[in-house]
Amino acid sequence: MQERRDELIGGRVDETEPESTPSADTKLLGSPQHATRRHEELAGMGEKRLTVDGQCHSTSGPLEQGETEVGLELADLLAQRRLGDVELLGGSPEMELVGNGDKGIEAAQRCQLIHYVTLSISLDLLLNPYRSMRQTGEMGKHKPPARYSAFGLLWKGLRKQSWPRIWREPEFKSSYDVVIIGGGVHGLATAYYLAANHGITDIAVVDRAYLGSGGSGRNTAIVRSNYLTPEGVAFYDRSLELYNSMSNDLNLNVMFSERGHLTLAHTDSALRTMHWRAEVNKLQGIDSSVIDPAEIKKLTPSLDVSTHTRYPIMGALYHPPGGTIRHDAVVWGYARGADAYGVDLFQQTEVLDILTEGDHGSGKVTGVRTSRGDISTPVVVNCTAGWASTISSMVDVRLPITTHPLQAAVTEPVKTFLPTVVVSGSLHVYVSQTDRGELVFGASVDPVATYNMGGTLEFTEELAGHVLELMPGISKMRLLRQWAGLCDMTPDYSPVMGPTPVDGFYVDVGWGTYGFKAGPVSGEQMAACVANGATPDLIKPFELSRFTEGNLVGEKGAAAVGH
Amino acid sequence: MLLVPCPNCGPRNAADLSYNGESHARPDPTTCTPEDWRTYLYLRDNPSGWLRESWYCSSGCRKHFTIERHTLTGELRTPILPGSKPGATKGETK
Repeated sequence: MQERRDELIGGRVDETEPESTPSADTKLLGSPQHATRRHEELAGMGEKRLTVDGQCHSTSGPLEQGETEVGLELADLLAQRRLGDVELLGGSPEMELVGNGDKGIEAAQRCQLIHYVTLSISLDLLLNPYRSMRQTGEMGKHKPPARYSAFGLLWKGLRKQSWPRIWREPEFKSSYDVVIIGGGVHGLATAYYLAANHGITDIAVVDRAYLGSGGSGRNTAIVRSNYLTPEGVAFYDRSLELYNSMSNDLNLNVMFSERGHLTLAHTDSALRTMHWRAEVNKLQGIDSSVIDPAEIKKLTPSLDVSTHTRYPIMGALYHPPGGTIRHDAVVWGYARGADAYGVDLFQQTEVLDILTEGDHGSGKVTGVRTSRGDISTPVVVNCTAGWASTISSMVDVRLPITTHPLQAAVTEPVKTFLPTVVVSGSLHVYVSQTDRGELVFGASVDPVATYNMGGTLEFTEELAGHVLELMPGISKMRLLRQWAGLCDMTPDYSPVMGPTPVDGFYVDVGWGTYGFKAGPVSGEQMAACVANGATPDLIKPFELSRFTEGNLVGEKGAAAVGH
Repeated sequence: MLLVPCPNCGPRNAADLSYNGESHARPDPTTCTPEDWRTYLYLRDNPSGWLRESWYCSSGCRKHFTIERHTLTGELRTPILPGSKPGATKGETK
């Protein structure tokens, strides 16, 4: 309840996203069922979401979260009108807010605004600006990001003020305490937790393109913690915990929809693995159980659970806390949070070389050469996912990583009918429905290692065939588009985190197909690792040295769909 | 679609072959240390550029061969069967 907003988001619009469709993916937006409902959903206001069977499901976590989103909801309404249904928030830095000069719509906005404010404003919300004014101090240690509130919205709306950008365009300095390469969820979360938990704010985050342009904006936004090894379960459970409180912590609605996660088993051996996973999960207090086809049918009526299919569904691992999150909001939330602590975010800044002293492969980091100039720094964190090997090769650190593209696709939006996230390992597919109604499909990684993110027809054919085996009823749906992201695959399907033989060079890579769901916890743990100079227990099993020592953490059974 | 020029069978769809990944000289298992062996097993160069890698023509001549592939553009060149020299094989595209 302490989370309130007194300022709204100054959006930028990525011109490559001119429609209200998701970015490379799944911006979880409103329900297609009804136009007015859709606006509620857009804002993440409604903690209730009507599903096709008429039941209500929680979509935004704790009840108070719904109340705190009032400010953002209004921001979104305003923005939606301004931009003519174009998605707001974030995007490429060179773009200005579109549609500010649209006077005709402004008047309507104000009416709409007052209407909503009178409906939803509360005394607490009104008081909030005063509270946040008290909190505003010198830029630096432990300063929280500016709050969004209904009062701020009203004030700015009436005065026709435009919203400030949600992060600064900082000046390029020649020296930083920490340089983080890669402005995705992992890099930004590391920066945020370094500042928030450890008071280290002299940080530069550099990204070759725009923030969230890699895997963070290309994944299928699924989160879960039902892993196979105790190390994996502990790790991802902490991540889910952080995701649960993220909207409040970052003061930005990430639209966490805890809708339940089904991992289907089509063979006896798969069913046995599901039982194994369920028992490992239960032992660690994770809500996870194996259910039979009748229960699956009850949960997800659109699935074909009959026995006459080629791969009949024999059961499923049901993981109720699993669900989906709007991945762009996570990136923007961390970027905004880190920026408020004074972290400098540099987009379109490519790292050309990492400067070291001493022997190759075992020296000490002294700086980073970027396309905008040199930065001297004692600490470099590599959070570049698919490009991890290219960065690490600059300091002669060889990684156990190969880069494979993972393709995903999205259909046109339809009425909500799929209440859970459905994953099938045997059929190499996972599917969820966004709040706006599109089905988002993902598959296994392409077999040949490449840095090319082009889509292939083979993928589309295979995906369509497999999806129709699961849900024959959607055969008339049209695919809207497909895209690919680069996955840094490791031999044991576990990440590589922590220090390397080069002093000051840290890696947070090897995230393969499961990096998004681990973003918050890896940021938190990497921050602790960098700040304390010691690897925290939670990520000790994932050190780079495990490969030469032979201590692999085999997560293939639970981490991947392609096996 | 990736067309892989098998030294024996000529250009074939990559789906007809098995991809074995980067091609590295195997250390002698009788003399190398466990660390060297694991390095050979797990660590990869994974460059964004030209890479010599191993393929198996699983639905054709059933031979292993190596070929250079550009991991960003997908170009392929100089396929080599084990024991032969580059240029001595047919099916070379570039």
